[in-house]
Formats: sequence, structure tokens, C-alpha cells
Amino acid sequence: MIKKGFLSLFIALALFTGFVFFPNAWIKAWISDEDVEQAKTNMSPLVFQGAYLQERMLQESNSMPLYGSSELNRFDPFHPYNYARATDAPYSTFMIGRGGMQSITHFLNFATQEKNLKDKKVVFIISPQWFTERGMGEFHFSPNYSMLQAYDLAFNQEMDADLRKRAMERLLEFDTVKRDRLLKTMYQYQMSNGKEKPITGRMAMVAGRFHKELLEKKDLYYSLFPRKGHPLKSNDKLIANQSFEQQVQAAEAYGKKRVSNEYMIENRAYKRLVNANFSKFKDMRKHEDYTESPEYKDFQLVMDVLKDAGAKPLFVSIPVNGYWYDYNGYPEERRQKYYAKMEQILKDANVDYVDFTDHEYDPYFIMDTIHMGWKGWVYLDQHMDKYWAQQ
Amino acid sequence: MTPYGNIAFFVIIGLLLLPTMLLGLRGKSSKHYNLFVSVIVLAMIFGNSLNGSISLILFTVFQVVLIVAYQRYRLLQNSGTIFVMAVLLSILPLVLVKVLPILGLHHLFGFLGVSYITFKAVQMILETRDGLMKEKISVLELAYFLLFFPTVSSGPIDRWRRFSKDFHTVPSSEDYQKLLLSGINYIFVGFLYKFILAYLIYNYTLIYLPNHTYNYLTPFQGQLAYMYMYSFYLFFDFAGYSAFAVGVSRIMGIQTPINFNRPFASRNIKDFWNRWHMSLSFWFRDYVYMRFVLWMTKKKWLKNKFAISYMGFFLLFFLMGIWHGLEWHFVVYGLYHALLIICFDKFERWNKKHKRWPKNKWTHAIGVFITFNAVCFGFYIFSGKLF
Repeated sequence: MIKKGFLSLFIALALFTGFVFFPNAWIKAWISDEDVEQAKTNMSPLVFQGAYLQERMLQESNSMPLYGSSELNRFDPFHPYNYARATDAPYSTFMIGRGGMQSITHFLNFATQEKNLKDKKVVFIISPQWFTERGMGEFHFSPNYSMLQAYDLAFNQEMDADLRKRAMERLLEFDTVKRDRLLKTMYQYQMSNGKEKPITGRMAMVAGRFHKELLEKKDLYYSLFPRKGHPLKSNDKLIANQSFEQQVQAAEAYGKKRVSNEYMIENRAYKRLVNANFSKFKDMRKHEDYTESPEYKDFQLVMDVLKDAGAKPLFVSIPVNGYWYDYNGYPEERRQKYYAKMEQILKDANVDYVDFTDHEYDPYFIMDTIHMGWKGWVYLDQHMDKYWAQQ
Repeated sequence: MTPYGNIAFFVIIGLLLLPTMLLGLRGKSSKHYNLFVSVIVLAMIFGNSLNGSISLILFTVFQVVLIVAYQRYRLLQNSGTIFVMAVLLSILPLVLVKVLPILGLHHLFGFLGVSYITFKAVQMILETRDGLMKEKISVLELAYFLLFFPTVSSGPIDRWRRFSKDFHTVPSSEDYQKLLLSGINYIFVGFLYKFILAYLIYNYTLIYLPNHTYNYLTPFQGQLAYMYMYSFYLFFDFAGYSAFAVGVSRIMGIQTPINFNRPFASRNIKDFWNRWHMSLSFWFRDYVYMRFVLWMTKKKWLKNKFAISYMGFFLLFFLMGIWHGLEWHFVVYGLYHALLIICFDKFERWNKKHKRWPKNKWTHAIGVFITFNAVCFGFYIFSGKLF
């Protein structure tokens, strides 16, 4: 009995050591193109917070990724992924983003992928509701935080030094980062160019390198078994060989079947709001204002890192559901101020962008309270086509 | 460094205890080496705060002096007043730790594990009073018992006489192998509970509850889900922690008692308290409830033995409640459990007479179901989300 017990212990130890020291190249060889394809639509945080699968997707020469947040998993026949496939577009797309992923999350991910983003066309959807008074909070930051990407940043020597420093300073404002004493020490050491904590900092870099390698290994093992793809809800005949106007009509008809309330919110989402006690949403945004927010600085990090990487981003400024926000007590006038501010920022930054913000009251453009879908996708599809064709 | 907080702690402990294991496997005593390890680990746990370290040292010296002095006194005389004073002095630091923050004096005094050390110290004074501590106590051994690092921050609460026996026993190589294996096993159960199950429950459910459900749940459903998930989280987190403490103790040759024995499978509320945070509930049973009942019976202030017993339950659970913190929801949590126990006791006695509730696997299952839900509701009160 005792001998058996110790034997199983040693076997466990041997297996563990085996997994830890298994060569990365061998694991990579096992990750097939099919696995990568799966991961393009599985909307899994393991992909978003990982590095390897995204690297493979970015290395496909015809891929044009779509970055954003919770709108991305609103699959319907008009969703850019379905569209690109059904119309045999010269590009293919994949989605990186889920609820709670805001600028700073995307920044970390871009930082890790910098070398794969050179000359890459990417689309980035900016959501108004990120720009609240407090900006990114711990509640959204922590479940979307990637330790691998955060450790990678400490070893990223290619990024512009000032940008990197600004990012580390910002990241250290989050408890999740602050609590990680090793990471905190590395960041402090890097931010001061080795002046602060010269000895513990250097030791932290050695331990951190080891930790990073383990996280990379973990990412590879996760990549071996990607989650199954998301149900795509595709219906090719609504888009294939259809003119833009026909698609708009199809999307309107599609939406019409799914909306029957004055707020133009998709019925299932509407039902959830009713269940949650509808009247509590009345005037709940009375004091919100999206023109002042720490998110602006985070968004600047996103624009800067994409520039630093030499990527070619197309930014998409989207509106909220006007009917719903009226009920929430966030008046149109105040909303327009945010839309105008965002456009000015994009203009000043001299980046490519599309502005959809005059579609606030356009039925079926926004499918629920804040998420674009249906007709919104049709418009985006058209712009993605154009952007890809631009030389 | 928080005990059992991260993998680094386990690696350090593992390396420090390698000589302990080698000595044990060769059938030799590792007593002295373990004392040395304890000093290092305690320095690691408490060393980051000067205030905390000084508080801990003064507190330990105070308790040791009190216990030794009372024991010397008890060999000569046995006055009730002195005994009560000794107990009050012993719990005074704990009371201060709980009350001072309310008076706005934070950070004046207080450190990790103060209440668990107090439980051990009070227990020694009570047993001395009972005349169970005749032998001379070594001060070093006493400090080792009070500050035994595997259990220093949150138990399980060991008993001196049991601890002392283990401390002086050198297990044979064969016995030590068993201890070592079960110790490692406990530590891995702890990993499963705390770092896998509690972690998943927290990160995939609890952070969205009760009211961050993106309206997927109605407010009521959110609260309900919170109640159950919080209960599971509490169990796996604490049971995982306790398993680490038991595991590390065993590697050091001390068979610290277990704290949890499948509590959610309890068939009634009395059964539950024999399975949940056992070292604490047994402590309260032996040193509060039993003593209260004996004392009341002896003084003959009340004739009805059930009334005495019920008052004992109220006292026990009231104290257990406020021990968690001087807040209303903890008090109500305690009283709620007192009420459950009393109701169950009444039901049990009624059933003895009328025999309406037979003993079979169906009633067993129903009993488990009711107990589970009643207990979860208790944790919901405990969480402070109800009010």
C-alpha cells in the first residue's frame, strides 16, 4: 500500500516534469490548421488571452481580424465572418473580443502580437459604453486579463520605450497586476531603466522569464485542444450575389421578425430586461457622460501600439441604441458630444476610420441596447470589402 | 507571505521540510529541526509587517506567561475568581482586536491568526482548572504549540494533550511513511479544493453574482445562485486550506485533527456541526456549551434540563457568530443556527414519542436536502448580502 502510494507519486512527478519539458516545437507541429480554423470562431477567452493561435491566424496572409467586445459574438447571416465566407471575399476574418474587453485588454494583446501585425489590415470596433466616468474597472479587467501577455510586455524590447512605460504605469493601477509582486517588481525595474530595485529587479526578471516560459507552454497545450466553434447561424442566400441594397432589405426583414417593442431591442434580450425589472432602467444613465473617461488614454495606447507595430487599422465608431438610451435618461444631445469627440480624436490621429454614429435611431442597425448586428453588420461588411481593396 | 497563498510558499515549505522527511523516513526524531523550520516560516509569514511581528511576539509571551503562571498557581490553590480572571485575561487581546477597529483604532494591534492562538491558550487554562495539566510544561514546547506554523493562521484548532503526545513520539520509519503519504495526499486534496474548485467557482460564477448577470438572471435568481455558489466557494476554499494545514502537520509528525467531513452530506443540523469546521465547533461544544450546562445544573438555577440546553446553544452560537466579527449579520447567523438546532432537537424528541418520521433511505435523502438548503441559507446570511 505504502509502496504503491509512493510509486504513484513518483509517476505523477515524472509525468509533470515530462509535460513541462516537452519541446515547444513538437507541440506546435501537432496544432493543425483545422484547430486554428476552429479557434477563429470559438470566441474563447483562452484564445484571446493566449498568443499562439492568434499568431497563426495573423500569419495567414489574407486574414483581416476584427477586434471589439461583446458585439462580436452576435452571429447572424450578416456577421462579417459569415459574410466573408459566403461571398468568397478575398480576405477572411476572425474575431478577438468579448464582453468586458476594452482598450487596455486589446493593447496588451497587440503588444504581444506586434511582430505579426506589421502591414496587417485590422478592424477595431470602438464601443461608446467603454467610456464611462471610471473607464475600465477591476470587474471587467480581471476576467479578461492575460498574465502571459502582461509578462511578455516586460520582455518586449522592440516597443517604443515611452509607450511601454506609459502602458506599464497604467497596468499597475489595476489590483490584478499590483497583487502580482513578481510582475510589479519587473515593471518597476523596467520603467526606471534598471535604476529602481537594481538587484531584486534583476532577480525578478530571471524568475519572470521562467514564469513566462511556463505560461507559453500552457498556452500551447491549450491550443492543442481548442474549444469548438460558435454556432454561426449562417444563411448564405441572404448575402451571396446580393447587392448592398438587397442585403440591407434582407437584414431589415431578418430584424423585423425578431423585434416587437418600441425600444427596437431584440425580443430575447428585451425579455431579460423585463425579467430584471424594466423600470429600474429608467433614467439609470441620467448622470453618465462618455466624454470624460480614463478610457481615452487607454484608447490612445491602442492607437499608439498599432502604429508602433506598423499595422493598418480601420477604426469603427459605433452608436448606442437611441431609443433605449432616451429611456435611460442619457439624452441625444449629450450622446452627440461623445460621437463628435471620438470622430475628432480619430481625425487628429490621422487614422482610417468609419463613423456609424448617425445610425442611433436606424432600426435593426443596433440589435439590442448597445450591440451592432443585422443591418449594422451589412454596413460594416461593405466597409471591410472596401478597406481590403484599398492598396 | 500568506500561508498556502501561492506556489512559491509550497516550494519553500517543501524544501525546508526535506530534512524532516529524511529524518522521519529513517525513524529519527526531527523535533529540533522542526522548531528551527517553524522560526523561519513564521518569520516568512509575519515578517513583512513590523507591527504584526511585534504584536505576535508580545501576544505569545503574554499567553505563555499567563498559562505557566496559572498552572503554578493551580498546583497550590483553586480559586474560582482567579480562574475567571485568567480566562478573561487570555481572551482580552482577542476582544481588543475585534473592538478597537470599531473605536477607530485600526492597525494598533492585530495580526493573522490571533483568534486561533487564543482558542488554544484558553483551552489550556480551562484544562488546567480541571486538573488535567499536572506535568510541568516546557515553555518552548508551549510556544511551539501555540505558534505551530501549519495551523497558525486559521486552524484547525488542536488540543494540547494530543499535540504534546505526537510531539514526544518518534514514529517508526514504517509509521512515518504512512504519515508522509497521507500528508502529501491531503496537500493535493487541498490543491484540488482551493486552487481548482474554489478558484473556478469564484472566477466563473461568484464574480458575476448576485447582480452582475447582464440580466440573464432576474434579481431573485441572482441572489439564489449567489447563495449556493457562495456556500460551495466557502467550503472548497476553507476545506482546501484546512487540508493543507493537516497535510503539512502530518509531514512534521503532528496529526492535526481534520476540519471537514463531507458537511453537505449531513442528514440534520446536529450532524452538520459534527462535520463542518469541526475543530471550532468541538471547541465551542467542549469549552462553552458543556461547561455552561454543567455549571447551570450544578447551581440549580433552572430545573428544566432542556431549557438549560437551549440556553447553552444560544450562548454557543451567539459567541461563534460574533467571533466572526462584530456585525449584525454574524450575530444573526449565529442565532439562526441556534434556532435550527433547537427546532431540530424539539422535532427529534417529538418523533421519539410519535414515530412519524421513520429511518430509511428516503427520509435520509430528504433530511440531507433540507439540511443542505438550511445551511446554505445560513451562509447567505453570513455573507452579508442579505442585509
